[in-house]
Amino acid sequence: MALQISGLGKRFGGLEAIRNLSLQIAPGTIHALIGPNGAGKTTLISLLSGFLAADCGNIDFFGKPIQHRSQQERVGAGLVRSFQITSIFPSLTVLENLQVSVQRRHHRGFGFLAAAASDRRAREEAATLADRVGLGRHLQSRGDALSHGMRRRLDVGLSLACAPRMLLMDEPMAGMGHDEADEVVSLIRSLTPELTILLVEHDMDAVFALADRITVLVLGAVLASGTAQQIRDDPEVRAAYLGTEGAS
Amino acid sequence: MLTKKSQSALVWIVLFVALACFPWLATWAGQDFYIGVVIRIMIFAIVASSLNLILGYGGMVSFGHAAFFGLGAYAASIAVVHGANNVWLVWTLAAVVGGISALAVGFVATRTRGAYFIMITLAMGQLFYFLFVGLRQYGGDDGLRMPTRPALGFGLDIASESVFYAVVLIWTLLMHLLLARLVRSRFGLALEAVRENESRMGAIGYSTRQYRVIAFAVAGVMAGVAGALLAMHNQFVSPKMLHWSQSGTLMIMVALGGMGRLHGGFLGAAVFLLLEEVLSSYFSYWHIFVGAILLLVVMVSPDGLAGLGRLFKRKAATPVDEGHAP
Amino acid sequence: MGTLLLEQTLNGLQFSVTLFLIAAGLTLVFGVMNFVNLAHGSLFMVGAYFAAWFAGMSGSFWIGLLCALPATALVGLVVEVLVLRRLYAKDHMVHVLATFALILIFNDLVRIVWGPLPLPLDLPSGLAGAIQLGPVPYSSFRLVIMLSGVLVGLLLWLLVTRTRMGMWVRAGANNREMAIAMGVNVKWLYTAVFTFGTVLSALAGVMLGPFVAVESGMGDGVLILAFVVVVIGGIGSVLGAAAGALIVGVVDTLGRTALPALLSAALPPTIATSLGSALGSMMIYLVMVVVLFWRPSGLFPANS
Repeated sequence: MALQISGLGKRFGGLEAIRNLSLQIAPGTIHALIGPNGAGKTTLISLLSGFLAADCGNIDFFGKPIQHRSQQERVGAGLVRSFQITSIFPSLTVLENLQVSVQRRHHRGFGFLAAAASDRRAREEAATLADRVGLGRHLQSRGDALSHGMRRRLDVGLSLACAPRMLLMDEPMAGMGHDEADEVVSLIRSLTPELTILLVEHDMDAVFALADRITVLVLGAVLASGTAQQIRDDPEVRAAYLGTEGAS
Repeated sequence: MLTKKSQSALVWIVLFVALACFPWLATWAGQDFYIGVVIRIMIFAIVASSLNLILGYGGMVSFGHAAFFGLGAYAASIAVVHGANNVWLVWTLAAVVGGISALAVGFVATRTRGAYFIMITLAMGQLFYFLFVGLRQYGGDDGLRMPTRPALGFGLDIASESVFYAVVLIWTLLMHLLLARLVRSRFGLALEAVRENESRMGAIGYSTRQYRVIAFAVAGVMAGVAGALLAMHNQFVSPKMLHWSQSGTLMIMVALGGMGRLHGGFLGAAVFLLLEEVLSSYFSYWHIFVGAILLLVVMVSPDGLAGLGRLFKRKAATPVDEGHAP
Repeated sequence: MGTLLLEQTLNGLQFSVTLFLIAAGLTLVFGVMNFVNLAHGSLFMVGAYFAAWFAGMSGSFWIGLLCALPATALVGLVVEVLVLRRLYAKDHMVHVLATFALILIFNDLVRIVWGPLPLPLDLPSGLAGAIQLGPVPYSSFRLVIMLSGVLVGLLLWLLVTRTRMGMWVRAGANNREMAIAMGVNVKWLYTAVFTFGTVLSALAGVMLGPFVAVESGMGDGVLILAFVVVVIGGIGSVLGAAAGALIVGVVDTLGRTALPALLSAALPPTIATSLGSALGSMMIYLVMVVVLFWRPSGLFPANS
């Protein structure tokens, strides 16, 4: 198992945000997390990334327990989170964006006098990553000159630069137009099976197009878990969440 | 076609040669006075460039930078007053004083953000200002004279204007090379990324505060040395050199020349001091022109004068065409 | 020593009031528009100049005051509409540079208009005397300043907490996006807040005018102190401005007057005066650094 969660719990004062949550994610798969607003999806992502500490429960990442590890340690172990709001370096070029993220892994020190342009390994890896996310022909474009969809792809690229084994993606489709969303969907699908992905999303088209398995979260607990078809057909899920939208 | 880096190097070689020839030209034309003006420009080019590292590349609005400039000047003057007669020692002292004080200020200031950061740097600058105002044994408000310039050695007489000019020219070149190396390095790239998006850099695993504090310290060293050079040039230093209005002047130079651009400090210092030189000979009230020009530049071209050319290109640029995901 | 202390404490309080008037406008502009306004001190100076000018022409301090306020408000309005409006969306660095440019412009402008020499502004004849406060005879005018400052403070508090516009201001200081979403006419609100701050600053300038030289650059020192007040008190908060002003005014005045006196007990007089004076001037910055270390957002920040 890439990720094994058992009995996870989190309280905020009187509010129990996550209740006795258990979940498994197989390596190389895309696992989607859906549920109504306030169900605890973002809280769960924060607990997994290490931004928040759980009150109880276990999180095993590729067999190793990580529930007491810091954010930086989890990133080092390969568990990387990407954010809802695209977060890039606007006035740096695509190449520089990726290079600065990659060089962290390659070098220990500050590199005061080591020319960035001569850092061949980092540049090559950055260029490869750019290709990976479809920005290979825009290496010299500034971050702020890119369209919304391209920025999102660059953002994914920055997450990939941390050499993750698993990505926690929090609403990657947010604010995307139809064509842009398609591109991001293709990108995400292309990341597997090398990467494992846990995806929080409201865009049902993207969810059903991508997810190998879906978990429905309601009021901090798992309501149902299964394949896309199973979730679509589940009457409880329909009542609680898909409701009148229906599964198209 | 030459690469950008080669173009930049060519500009600098031409400039260096021009500056090296300048004293002879000036003396031949009977305009010796301007040798002193150019020395001043070069010294301010160093300190403005050091501020550019913090402000332009680091994105930190420090309103107390003049303090490190003044501290270097005072360190040099006080050392000479107490008998130091070795310029190398004096320069080292000024560099160390500038660096350590900048390290301390940077450490404290980076605990805060935004407007609070501006205010803390300003406050700490003022602390140093009042310190020297209060030190009567070193002149207080009246300032401190440097009786002689400390000796250079090598059989060269540093009291001679042409020797001093050469010394300042070489320092300017060295400082520029240092800055160029630094901003083009991995450290420089990371520093700019921290300016652009600190939280992302933290998420990637960088200790962002360290990068900021180090940039501060390096800038402090540069400013300290520049301060020593100014003290040697004028053979005088006063607390005014540390006042927040002097920090403001330095910021104007960086803004005029181009923040975050390699030549920003140099260009800004040259433009500002030449404007000052020209305008003050015609008008008693020339600050109003400087203010008006600054206002215009700030409102029209965010990248300063160095960015004016870019401005037209950028306005015409359309968003990049969509690429295709794999 | 006791009377000296009492008198200097009263002076400190009076200075606090002056600082409060300047800082209140500054903190509101800061909190509502997220704008760093270094030119605030220049409007203080313009207010003092207008008052000296009108008072000089009419022979009455009060006419000077009454004319200076709207005149300065007009100047502030023009600056806001022509220059500042375009800058609100930009980052602090741009604000600092642009308003620093305005300082340079105003400092020379007043000398061009009114000449390089300081203008005299006399105390109003009715209040030129002193009132006996216990053992200390204290200037009536200074007392009037303190009283009016407290009144203005109360008025401001009422405006901000009890009126609809005050609600918008607080909403703006707390959460800009929310305020915009609520349909507040942001442009008009900004202009109003700025102009109001200008009037307060001008009032401070007029009231301080009789005690200091009305000259170019008079606003610069006071501006820095006002910023210290705002930062100590917390950005965007009138209560913070009051608390900060109290601390800064008293500490600064006592520091600069009492410290040399204290030191002269132990040190030779010339050193005591200059060292004491320098330490006294440093005090308030030390206090600010300490406060910010303990509370990085000030004592009573608006968005806590």
